[in-house]
Amino acid sequence: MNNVRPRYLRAFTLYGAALALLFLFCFPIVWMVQGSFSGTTDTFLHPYDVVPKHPTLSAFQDALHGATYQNVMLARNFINTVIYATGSTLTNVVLGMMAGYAFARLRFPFRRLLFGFVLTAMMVPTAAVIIPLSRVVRTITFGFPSLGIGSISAGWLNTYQGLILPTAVTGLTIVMVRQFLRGIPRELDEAAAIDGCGPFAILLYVILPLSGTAVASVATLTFLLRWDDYIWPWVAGLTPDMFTLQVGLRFIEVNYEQQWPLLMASCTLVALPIILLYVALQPLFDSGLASLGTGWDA
Amino acid sequence: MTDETGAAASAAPGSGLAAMFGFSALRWREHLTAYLLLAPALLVLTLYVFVPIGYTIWISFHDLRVSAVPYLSSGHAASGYVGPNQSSVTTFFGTRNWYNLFHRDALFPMVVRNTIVMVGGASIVGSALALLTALLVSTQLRFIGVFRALYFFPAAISQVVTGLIFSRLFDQNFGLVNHVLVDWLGLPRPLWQDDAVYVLASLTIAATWIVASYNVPIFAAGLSNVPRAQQEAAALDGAGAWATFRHVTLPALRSVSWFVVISSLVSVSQMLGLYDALGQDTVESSTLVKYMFARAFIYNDIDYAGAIGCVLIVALTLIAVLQLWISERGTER
Repeated sequence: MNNVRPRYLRAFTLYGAALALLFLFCFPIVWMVQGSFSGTTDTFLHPYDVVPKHPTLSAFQDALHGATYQNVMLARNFINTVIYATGSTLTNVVLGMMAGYAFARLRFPFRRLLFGFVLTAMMVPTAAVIIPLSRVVRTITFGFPSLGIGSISAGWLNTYQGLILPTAVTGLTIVMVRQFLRGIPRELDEAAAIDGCGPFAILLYVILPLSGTAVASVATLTFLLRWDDYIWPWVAGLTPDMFTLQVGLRFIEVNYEQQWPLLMASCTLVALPIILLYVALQPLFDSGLASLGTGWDA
Repeated sequence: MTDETGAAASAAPGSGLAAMFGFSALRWREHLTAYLLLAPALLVLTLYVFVPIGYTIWISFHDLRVSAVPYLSSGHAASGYVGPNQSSVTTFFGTRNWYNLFHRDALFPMVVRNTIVMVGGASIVGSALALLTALLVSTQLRFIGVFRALYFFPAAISQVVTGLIFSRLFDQNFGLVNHVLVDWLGLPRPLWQDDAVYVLASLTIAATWIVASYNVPIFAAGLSNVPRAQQEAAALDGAGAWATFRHVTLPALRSVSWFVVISSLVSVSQMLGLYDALGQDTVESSTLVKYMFARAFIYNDIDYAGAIGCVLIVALTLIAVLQLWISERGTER
């Protein structure tokens, strides 16, 4: 009996802390949803009601069509974001698996040096080199002309390939894949090697079938990061029809300053797909991030 | 590990040539495969990370003049793009950009101070909060998995969304925060938009919110790797919860904690999306990244922005090297 009270008290404290943290982390998001359902009158008369007095969907309509200027293209921006995030995720998975496998399993000269290169690429603040990056993307177009999306001849700026290529593979992806592949028992590839498999065959027939989690985790995390990207799409997109959701959202903010129902509805629309994806694939996000924190020996 | 590969190679049945050169032929094949597998990734990283770094350094020693006003898309700040009928002239500028940055620019020290406050504050407080949260979600409480999933929401939504949410919460006249502070608690009204100190404070709070949420799964994974036996042994020896945490759990989390703090420093120092949505267009509250982009796109001063970018790169590299040095020393002992 003596033990019961402290245990009860402990659970009580822990749940209290859990609820306090829940408030801390989720209340701003609840407040975003509240704002997006409240009409203009509500924002003036009852601005602090958690449940709006007169809930309305009009803000969402405004967000999709643009209220006064009609210049908002959230639907188009959504398509751009899907193309950008999906394209970048695909290339990250393919190139990341190739490079990650080489670093995790193969032995070759300059391995440590090249991995240092990758680690550096991961840690460099890419925001600091975005402006030169835009010059690189404008200049280097690999021989064939722009695919003609957007009418300005700005090299590969304002095109999908220009948007995707700089993020085609990141240091983060390579490091993550390498961490995952190191967890696969070496005996398997050794057995395959004895059976006469070359390194490439081992990647294709031994490693790849076993790296479902690795691929899925890298893919979901990359998709999340690309969905939320702001700086590069902002610099790479020159016209509103090539903006991604984040840039479009910023565009809305500039045009409709402090029109909170419209702004919050836009926020909800931008955040909803990624939140749904997260809820559906939560274990994958977790394992992807988990692989980051461990094994920092080069 | 060389021996393992060697054993596999010599065990492989081969034709005459492979038997003669068995070992080295396999070796050579492995090297070639490795380089072929790495080539596309290294090409991308070189072109889109290292060439821009080199260009940033190079341009900071030059003067870049664009002959006409660059293309501006409506409502959207400029893009560093030189139009089809314009040309840019680059001349060697020596260290003038650097001299101006460190000796002439009265705004630069202010911007650096703001960056240190926001980046340092958000990274340290955010990491500590993430660790606390991770300790909580690692307990065996019922439904803690649901809480854990919900705690990640701030990291899933983007910086621009976060910035907009917080700029509504922190609206100095109609925001919820000031409603609570002024109408409920009767405190003097903080001017979250007009006072640069409060602008910086709101930015730091929002960044802390993101950092704390993003790092919970990383810390939780680190905690699950802490040997349970050690914790139980400490508890058996009569160590309290705090002593166990301080002497068993925290040392085991050493490398994870360093990773979290350093990667938070890197990510918070680049939070332009958050700044654009939440911060003000005043220099008094600007961070380095905001100042750099303002220089490049509003003043069209790309070379000067390059020098600012170099400062950011060098500062973060120094921190990373320092961290590496500290952790190496830690493992030697």
